[in-house]
Amino acid sequence: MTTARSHRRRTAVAIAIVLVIVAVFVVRLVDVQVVHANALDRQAAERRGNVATIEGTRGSIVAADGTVLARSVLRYDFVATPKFAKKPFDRSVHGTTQKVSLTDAAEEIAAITGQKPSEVTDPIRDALAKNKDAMYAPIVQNVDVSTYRKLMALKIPWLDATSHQTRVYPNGAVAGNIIGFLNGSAQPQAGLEKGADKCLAGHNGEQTYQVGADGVTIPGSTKVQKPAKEGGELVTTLDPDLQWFAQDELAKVVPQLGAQFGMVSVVSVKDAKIRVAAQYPSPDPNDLDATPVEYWRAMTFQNQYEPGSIFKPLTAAALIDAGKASPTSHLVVPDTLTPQKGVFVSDNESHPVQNLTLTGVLTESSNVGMSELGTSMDDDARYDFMKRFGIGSKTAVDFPGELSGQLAKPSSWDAQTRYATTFGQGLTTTPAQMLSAYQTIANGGVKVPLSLVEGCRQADGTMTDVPSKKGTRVISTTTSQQILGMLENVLKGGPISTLPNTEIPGYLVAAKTGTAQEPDGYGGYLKSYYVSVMGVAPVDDPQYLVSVNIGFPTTITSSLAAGPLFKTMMSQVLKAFRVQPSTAPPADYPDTY
Amino acid sequence: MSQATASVPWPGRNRPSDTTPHLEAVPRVSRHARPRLFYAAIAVLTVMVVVVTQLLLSIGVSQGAYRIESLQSRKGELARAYQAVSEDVDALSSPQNLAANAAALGMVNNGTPVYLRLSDGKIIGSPAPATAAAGSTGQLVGNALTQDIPLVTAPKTTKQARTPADQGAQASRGATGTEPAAGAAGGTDSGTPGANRQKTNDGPVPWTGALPAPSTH
Repeated sequence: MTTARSHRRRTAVAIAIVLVIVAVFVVRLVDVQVVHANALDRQAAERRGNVATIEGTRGSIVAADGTVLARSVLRYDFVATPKFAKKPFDRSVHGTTQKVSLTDAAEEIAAITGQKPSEVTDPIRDALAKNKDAMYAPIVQNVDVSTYRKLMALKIPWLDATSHQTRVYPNGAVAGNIIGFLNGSAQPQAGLEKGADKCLAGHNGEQTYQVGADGVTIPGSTKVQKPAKEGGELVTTLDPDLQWFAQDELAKVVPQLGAQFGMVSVVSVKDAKIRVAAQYPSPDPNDLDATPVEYWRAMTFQNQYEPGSIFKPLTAAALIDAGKASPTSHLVVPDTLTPQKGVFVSDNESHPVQNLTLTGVLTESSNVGMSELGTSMDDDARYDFMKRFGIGSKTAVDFPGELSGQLAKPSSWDAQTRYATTFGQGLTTTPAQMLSAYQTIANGGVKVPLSLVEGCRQADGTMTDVPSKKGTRVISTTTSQQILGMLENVLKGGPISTLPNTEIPGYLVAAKTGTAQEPDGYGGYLKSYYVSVMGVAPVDDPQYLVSVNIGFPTTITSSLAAGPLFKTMMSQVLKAFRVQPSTAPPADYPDTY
Repeated sequence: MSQATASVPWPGRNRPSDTTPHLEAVPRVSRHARPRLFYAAIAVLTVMVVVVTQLLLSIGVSQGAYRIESLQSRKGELARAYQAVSEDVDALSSPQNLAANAAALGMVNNGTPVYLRLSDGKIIGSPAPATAAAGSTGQLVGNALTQDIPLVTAPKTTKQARTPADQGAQASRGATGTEPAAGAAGGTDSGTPGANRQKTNDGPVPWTGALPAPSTH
């Protein structure tokens, strides 16, 4: 019996050991084949050198109508293998075989790339001089696809190419200020390229594969380790043709006026979409060095100025909405005002004491009249209106590097600032903030967030990151209509009406001029002005808002400088968007009493 | 297993049987009962069929790999062709190029539009002819991509005779270019008819047909 038991025990032990060993193998098998399978596959592929990057292309930036404003393309760098370039190679053309020497090949390459043949042969000879088995000599960089195809068609065995992505801007300087640019290592630096990088950026994927001796991938061996993600397409609200028109006009007008710069913006009133944000000078992202660095940015968002008289309608709107005034409020307006010590307000031109209505104050752009009425309102209440119009805070566009302007709290205003803020001095705004404020006035008092992009179109066609269009009421509809009605008089009877043909036949246009003084940085003001005209048409159904700003013109220094361009631009906008002419009668508020 | 081992009787414990052993003659083994050639042949044939099928299948699969390789390089070439022409189209359709060509053809922009109101037939605005001064040259807004494109009015230069290398250019080529894949040359390149030989022609294509009629709004 004892022998039988010991026999059984031995057997059991043997089986147990076998089971343990089997279990260890199974665990190891699962570990290798399942748990760490991907990592090991990768390691193996890396050791064989068969890891390929699947490039995730950076998305395009397109205009509202689909015009491509920025896109990624492939460019090629050609490299020679000097070791093999020494000897002539055989090339068969139509069944006959020719010997092609390095010199012949270099001439063929140079004819295509526009280089000198020596520029092709020199790197090869230099590399050979250093090492007779040299494998690398760069020949030409950044050639486009058609050149690539021509070079490849030469069938030179020692010539090879690598590709890389680069960015092109088919419309050049059209909206170049808004689009932005990338640096040499493809990192976004400015503009929408930077602001919408999350939408545009593609993410590279990775795949591993095995190749046979003949260089052909072994069937079934390709494994996508990480799929690539293509960048989304950024759809902007811009109209490229109109943007070009604005830039072209600016390029004519600004040098004529001896001005430093100019800006033209167009915003659709109902949905607050920026259709044009032009500036001169404007950078061509394909060739940035052609433009001075200070104009590489989008001035509409990234420059702030004391707005001057174009700010007056905001004060007037606050006054009317708060019940402090009406379009026909009576004022006695001298040409200067010294209400208290240390305060001096004067109008642009000296004039006898006038009996102006609030409408007349806007038409004549009287600083004195606006100061008298504006300060009749509580400072905090006026400040509150300005804040609600968006003064002192960035617009909803949130452009990269956007400025918020400077609007101090009433508690820190000195006496002069208290008066100056009624007519747009003593505070700074970006042109974008003024566009948003005018959009509010034109849109029946409802401020819709200003937008520059429609959204990010993903590969599956869905639109993501669509900006909010939720409006907030700032002033009443009645106030809004009254302000627009009052501003109809500016083109008819204001200082700008001395220009011939400022009105646009068939359309009621509400506009306001501005001739702002800008600080010289030494506590005083510059001699030349920042002149503007902002306007809306048609008044009976406001559709488009046009803003023209000219920086420091020297041949004409008043708002007259911006007048003709405003008319040209507004006419083009109304024509391009096929806006119906006005049907309602003008408001005809009296300027005087 | 231990059970089986235990049940085998020990020789020492073998008790004499009570019954008489039953004896019988062993039948003669037939000489004809050995395996027939026929079955062996079937077995060998089956193995051979399996081997050959497998061989054919793997040839088929690797043939497919060459075809995939060839098609992929063709796809790459087509993608490059698409990129080249779409880049050209983008540059040609840029406002700068269109405006410059329009100006070169003598077109001017009329800055004073006049409207005819259909409801009462009223003419809004006063018609005035556009002047060349109001037009744009199209050259004021920079574009590094279009400045080398000749205007449609520019005199045509005769194309140089094509070099032998150009004529050798064929649409289907290896993905990396220098050497067409060895296998692809072996006849699987059937997706590339001779008609796909590329024509190298740079620059804008002049418009030859009649001008399209404008759509009136």
